[in-house]
Amino acid sequence: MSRRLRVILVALLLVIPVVLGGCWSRREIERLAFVQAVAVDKAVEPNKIQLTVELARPSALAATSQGGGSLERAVWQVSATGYNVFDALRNFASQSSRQLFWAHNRLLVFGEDIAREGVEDVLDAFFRDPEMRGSTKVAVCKGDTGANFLQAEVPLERVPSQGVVGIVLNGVEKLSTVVDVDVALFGRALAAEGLEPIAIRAEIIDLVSEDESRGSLERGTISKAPRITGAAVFRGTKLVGWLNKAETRGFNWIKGNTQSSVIVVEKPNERDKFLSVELVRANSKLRTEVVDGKPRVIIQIEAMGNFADRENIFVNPEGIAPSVLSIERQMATVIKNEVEAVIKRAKEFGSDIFGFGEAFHRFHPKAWKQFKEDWNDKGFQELEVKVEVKTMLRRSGLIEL
Amino acid sequence: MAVLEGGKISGKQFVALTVLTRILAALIEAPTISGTDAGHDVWIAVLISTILVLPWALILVHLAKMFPGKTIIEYSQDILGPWLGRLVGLVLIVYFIQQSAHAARVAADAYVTTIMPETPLIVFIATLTALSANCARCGLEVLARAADIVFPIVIFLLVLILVLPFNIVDFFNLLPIAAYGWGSIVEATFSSFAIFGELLVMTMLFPYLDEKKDTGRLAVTTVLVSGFLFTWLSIMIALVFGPVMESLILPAFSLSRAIELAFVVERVEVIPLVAWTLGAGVKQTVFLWAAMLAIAQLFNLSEMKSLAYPVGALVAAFGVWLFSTVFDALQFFTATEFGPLGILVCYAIPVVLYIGALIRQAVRPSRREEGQM
Repeated sequence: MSRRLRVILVALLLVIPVVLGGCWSRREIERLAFVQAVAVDKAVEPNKIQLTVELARPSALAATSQGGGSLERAVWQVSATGYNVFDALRNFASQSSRQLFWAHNRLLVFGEDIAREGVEDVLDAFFRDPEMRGSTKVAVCKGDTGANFLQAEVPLERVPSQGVVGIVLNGVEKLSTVVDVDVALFGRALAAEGLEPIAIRAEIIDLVSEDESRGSLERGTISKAPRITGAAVFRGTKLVGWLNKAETRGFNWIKGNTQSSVIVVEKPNERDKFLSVELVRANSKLRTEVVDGKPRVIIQIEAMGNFADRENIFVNPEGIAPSVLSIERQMATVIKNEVEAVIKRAKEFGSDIFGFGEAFHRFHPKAWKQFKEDWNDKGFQELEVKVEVKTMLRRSGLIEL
Repeated sequence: MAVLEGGKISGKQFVALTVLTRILAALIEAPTISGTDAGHDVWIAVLISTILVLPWALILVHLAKMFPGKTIIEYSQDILGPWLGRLVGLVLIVYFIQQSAHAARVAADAYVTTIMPETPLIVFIATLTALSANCARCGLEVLARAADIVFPIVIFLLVLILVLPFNIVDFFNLLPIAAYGWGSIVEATFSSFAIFGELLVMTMLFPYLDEKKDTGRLAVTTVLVSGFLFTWLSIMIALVFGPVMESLILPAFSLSRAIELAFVVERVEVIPLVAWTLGAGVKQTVFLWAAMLAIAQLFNLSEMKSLAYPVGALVAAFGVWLFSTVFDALQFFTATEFGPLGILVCYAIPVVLYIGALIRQAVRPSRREEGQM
């Protein structure tokens, strides 16, 4: 018995320290504030940055889960400034009663001002700190500060950043006119040769909502809501411009990122009448060539769609086969135009967001050494791009074309 | 002379022990070969060093066959004579203690970097060392059985982090081959080769194998299995991280963090943590045991059990003292730091011993014939 006791004691002695090791780094959940989103802006003081975090308020969130429709805001927004991110982060300690916990951060928004000046001083902390996640989305707020963007809410969601991330995912799945960029992808583009980063383009729009007190004479209140369309183009760490919807879809065609989308084309033989095709599948192939020391890119895009809707139901004077052919041709034209538009735009910005340079680096490493130095200003500008589009109309739902 | 280590291990256990010994490096420093800048070409370096290591492993096997039942500590005295041989033994003891301490230290550093930044390093080192000293005290058989249990778990976890990121791989990340020039690949090969040297511990294990005739096959299996896992890990990290790969300090950990499957399988970074805890435990214990055995053999001690705690204490202290910062740890095996020394100890010593043994063998038989007549 005493021997067994001794064995148990020794075993405990060996096991306990293993668990004790964590005690220095323990964190009680009631001492933590969960960061849902962070905005980075220029501070009023020179050379400083302002960080604004959106913190989840557990009490307010708990109220809804129990069914009681709490009207409290589910998040608390607070700002701190510092010379760099880490400095500012620590300064939150003078305002927040709880430690900031970053592992659930979903969104990083830059204000347009700081993005134009460059975000190189800002990004480091988001890669170095093990608490930060690479899956945090990166956005730039067009024409406003990131802090203001965090104020914009989707009425469907309790937590604003959840609304924004939801819109991004929706946009990617249904429209393909937005880009889905997270910290890991952004950093990868910065580290790579011949590839410039791109970010989500975020905007604040006015939203008229019904007033909450019924019977009141007021018609409604205006609140702010987020909108996600297009993309923000960087060159290095500096924001250089924006892509609109069509250009962003052009970008997604090239990268093979299009999931589903709507392609609106003019009706065969009828002006100003439109029909739409639902994109089902698309993929792209990129081929690089060096001809006489000049870079050339051939992009082959294949898109497959279903006929979605049109005006003049049940009336189709042309017959099926010619209509299909003509619609397919128009689809190809739309895609080609979008692709060419975005390439033209990127050339204007002097930023190879497509990674054509990286492709040359991979497949023509020798030639790349000559282009490398001034790729964005010279090689990319002179780059000849050939776009080949193949389209196919597959189905037409429950009724004929 | 008393039997210092009465244990016997099976071939399977031998492979488990030696591969696990190598896996710690795979999980912590090797896939990017920290300190060199081969970037995504590291896998080439790992592959080349695996092939280069094979003949060396066969030399170790052949030495073991020439001196059956003897460890490198014993036959180095047979080959080089008592004084030079003992010097070699001393060097090896220091190397074994260093490796044991290194295992504890890198694992402890990894905990502090990733999940428990406030915890003092010594807590992890002391805890790990207490466990492995206890295990080493129980002898080789206990250690081998522990390795037997741990091995499938670690391999499973490793394969998990190698397979799960399949949805974010980009095969073109491997192009162009030799993006940073062959010079950097040679440099990385050198470091990888130096890290591979830890398989020198096989020379302490060979005498305790129960099936002596399989020795060569087992050594080759170990080299190939660990080389294969390393290469796979390096390739996978390149496929996922591409140009970012170079700046990662804990590539396997970052790889597991990148895993994100359908919003369900994510935040699985505990996987490499578990794996490197187990790997570190086995590696530290193997080298601690080897150091104990080496000391007992070198100084003709009658038993080695009582060495466990003193040598363990030495290992813990060495572990704390080994590096002052993580940057030292990262560059430990590079050509400008301890890489050359590691190669000298792990490769030059066995090769010199082998040449010596061959010369002796060439001279000896004639003498023996004379004696018989």
